Amino acid sequence: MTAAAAVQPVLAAGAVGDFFEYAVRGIPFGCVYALLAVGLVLNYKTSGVFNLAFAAQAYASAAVFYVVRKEHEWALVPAALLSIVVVGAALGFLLDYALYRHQRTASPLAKLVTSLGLLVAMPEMVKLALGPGVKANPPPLWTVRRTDDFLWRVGGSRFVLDAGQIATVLATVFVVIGLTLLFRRTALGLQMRAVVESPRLLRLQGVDTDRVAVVSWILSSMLAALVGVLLAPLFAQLTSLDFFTLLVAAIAACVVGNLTSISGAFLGGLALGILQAELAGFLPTDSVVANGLRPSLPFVVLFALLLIRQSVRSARTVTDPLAGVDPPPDPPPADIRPAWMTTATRAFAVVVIVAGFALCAWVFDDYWVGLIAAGVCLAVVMLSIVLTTGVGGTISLCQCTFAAIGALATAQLTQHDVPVLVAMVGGAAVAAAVGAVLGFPVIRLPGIYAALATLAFALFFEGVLINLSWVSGGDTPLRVPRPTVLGTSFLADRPFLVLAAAVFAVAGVAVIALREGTTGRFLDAVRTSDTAASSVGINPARTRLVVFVLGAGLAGLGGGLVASFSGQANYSQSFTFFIGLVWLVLVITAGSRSVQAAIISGISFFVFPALLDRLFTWPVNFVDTNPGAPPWLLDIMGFFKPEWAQGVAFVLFGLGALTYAKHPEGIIAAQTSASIRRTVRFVERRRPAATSPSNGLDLEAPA
Amino acid sequence: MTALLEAVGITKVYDGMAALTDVSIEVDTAELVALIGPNGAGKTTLFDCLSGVQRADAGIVRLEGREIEGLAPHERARMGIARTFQRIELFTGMTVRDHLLVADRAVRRSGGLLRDLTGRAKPDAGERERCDEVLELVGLADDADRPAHALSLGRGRVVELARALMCRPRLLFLDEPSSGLDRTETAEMAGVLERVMEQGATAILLCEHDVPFVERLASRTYVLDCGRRIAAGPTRDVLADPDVRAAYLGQGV
Repeated sequence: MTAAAAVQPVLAAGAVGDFFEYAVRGIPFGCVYALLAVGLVLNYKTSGVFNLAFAAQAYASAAVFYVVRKEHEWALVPAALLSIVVVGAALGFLLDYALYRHQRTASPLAKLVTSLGLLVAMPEMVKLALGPGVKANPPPLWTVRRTDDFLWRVGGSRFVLDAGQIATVLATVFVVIGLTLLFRRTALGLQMRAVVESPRLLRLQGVDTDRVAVVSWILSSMLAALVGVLLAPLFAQLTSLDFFTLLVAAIAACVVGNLTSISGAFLGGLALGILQAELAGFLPTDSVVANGLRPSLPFVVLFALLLIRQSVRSARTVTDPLAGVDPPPDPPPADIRPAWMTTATRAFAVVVIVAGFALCAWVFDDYWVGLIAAGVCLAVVMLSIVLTTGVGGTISLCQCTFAAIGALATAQLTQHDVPVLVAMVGGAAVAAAVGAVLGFPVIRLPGIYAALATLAFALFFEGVLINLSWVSGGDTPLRVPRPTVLGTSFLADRPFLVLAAAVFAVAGVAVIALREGTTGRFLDAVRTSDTAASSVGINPARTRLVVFVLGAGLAGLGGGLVASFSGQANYSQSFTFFIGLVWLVLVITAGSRSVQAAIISGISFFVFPALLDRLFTWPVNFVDTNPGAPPWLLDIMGFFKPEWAQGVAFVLFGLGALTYAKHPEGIIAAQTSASIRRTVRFVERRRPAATSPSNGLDLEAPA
Repeated sequence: MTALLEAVGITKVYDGMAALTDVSIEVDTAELVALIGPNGAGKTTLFDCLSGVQRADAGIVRLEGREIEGLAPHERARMGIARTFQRIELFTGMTVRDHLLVADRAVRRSGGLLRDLTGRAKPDAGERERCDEVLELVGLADDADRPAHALSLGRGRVVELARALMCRPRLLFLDEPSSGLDRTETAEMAGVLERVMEQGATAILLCEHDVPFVERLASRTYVLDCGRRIAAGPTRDVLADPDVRAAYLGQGV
């Protein structure tokens, strides 16, 4: 800073001076990105988890700091100690002890899914625990004011930093130097890196891997807490969404350092912040380019980095040298199911479907039928997740965006008097086209980078594109009518449910045909190894791209259906990134390759919160209708609040994803396998003399 | 008469480390050629360059006189170049038969969306026959419906070989087919390769450490050391060459 002050008079005028001024202005923002990025890198380097929930951890500590400092008016130091040191460390310890300790040898995908689940669940938990109210004007973590209060007071300076920016810059420098020393100079740092590579090998060397891992989790979590508390005052109010958006810039910075270099992430973040400030300074404020480019810069940079950097494309996922000792994954239920049981299962499925329709037709009232119909529409979008992620093997975080594109295109087409059903097909085509353009580079990226690229696209759409009127159709959501075909009206919920179920059935059969057919086999081959697949003549890129495009189209179709059912293409209500995350987490939890999982998670997304709402409303009603009950009972009953329902549902959906590491095939498939084994054992015990009905596979479970 | 495979002046540099320097080799129709050399000599890198997994920094690769440099691995596979891997790469979750079917359909380009969506994904008579033929040839008929990952390493290598043979290759690269196998399995592997050669449709280039294995099978041998070709010729002569013995086999052999 003194150096800058020294050169300042010389450069005071002209473009060079401007350049330096903008650069200085960009440094604090760069440090914000850098801090987040360094935290992500620290997490990835020491745990193998690309911890998207880092944003949620930061938010949690920021919220705690807000509550104790502003609502309870604690002094600065205890408030900071509590939220950064105590809460941060406790969260890190908890995450390691309860979750990641059991996933140390899990695939990077499993760890990513776990972090996605936490990203969904944690902010909701914070809101439930600390109250849902608006947290306006988050308090700062400093007491001094601006640089011109105590530096360069004479004559005024062009380089003004406020105290928050100074705090950020100092914290960043401190953290980067500290971590670099830790990794370069200490045995602990070395062990932290090794524990990711192979915890089992490290344990054979006599290192207590659990201790190393817990230390690294506590460290990274405290960093998340520091970041959260530092960054919160940048925003007018404290919301978890702002932290997600900052995450994209931070991810771009991480990619500069190939996700593993602390100094790379630091420089990347700094460069991004400065670049943003320079653009803001030099581009004319009213030009279309400037207005479009400035907010989208982090996305553009992330995308460009992912596409251009050779090291990203050739990145190999770390594989544990001892992974070979792991038992092979369980065979799918269909493989262990005896033939006689298959018939019984199919018959049961028919009964369930018929009973479901019968219940909707005669038993459930309009409220529940409406929720179920909405769920079936959504199930088509869920099916696109099954196709893209489960069958295709690409972790796509932008299926919600494809659904939104389908919905918006459907809406715009119906504005031009295109029949709704035709418009839906058109919407699907538009979404597929966008999917093709996006997918062409994305599917060439290795797993985790593909997920990051789709995340960038989804947030780019949410942050930039949706604000353009030719995309969204204006400020009020466009209306989409329900269809009438050949005199048959689908205006009421029940006929619409039938329509949606028909669309889902056709799409579901198609997805099963692809999954079980040659396409599915090719995709399995590609997922094992691109090299092996191409050695027999499979074109890996083309195979993946085709499925990605189909998935985008299917999501678009589902989006059109959702819009038509709800009467409007409403982005912020139906298709936001956060909602999309919940969808993805739900499908992956239920079973990412399963069509049943799509329908079940689609319906649960709407019905489950409604059920919880009933559950939490019941005690309230009890209090109202039984004023004479014992006071302790009234106290317990009065504790519950109906407005918890949505939050609790999201928390449970998010926590559900934590089962993924244990059951990557999904809880439906896991439960099915378990019940098949039980039934077979039961049957065999009943008729010990009869020949085994199994198809020759060993079904003996350890006693 | 052009050779089946002709590679001239292949050079590959990794971060300033020359993995291959000006290596030239030729393989004729239906002959079995061996490539030997100490670990790190560049054998696998050469295979990668020939099969398209890596781009060579310099050099020309021709298949039957046609230049194939710049073609992707899957395109080369469809032209009749198949390979196996040193660390076996079997497809997870597939039976042995699935491996063969996948290879058959990929190379013939007879699988695809439309076929799946119109419900014709089940193997037809021709596909079943081709599968059975190869299973019989390599002796995997009994294991055809077992999941491939449940087989031993030796059988796994045979599955890889069978998968490669399903591509009806004119040229087959085998990357250390006997590594990790015990004596019986190695002998079985040699027997399978002899049966493949008897059919006369496939030329094989294999890299190996097992000298008796090479002596039994290969008519000609190339020797690589530190990325350079240090010897070439009939196997017997090459193995007798004092330079080769010094570089690779050690004086005592």
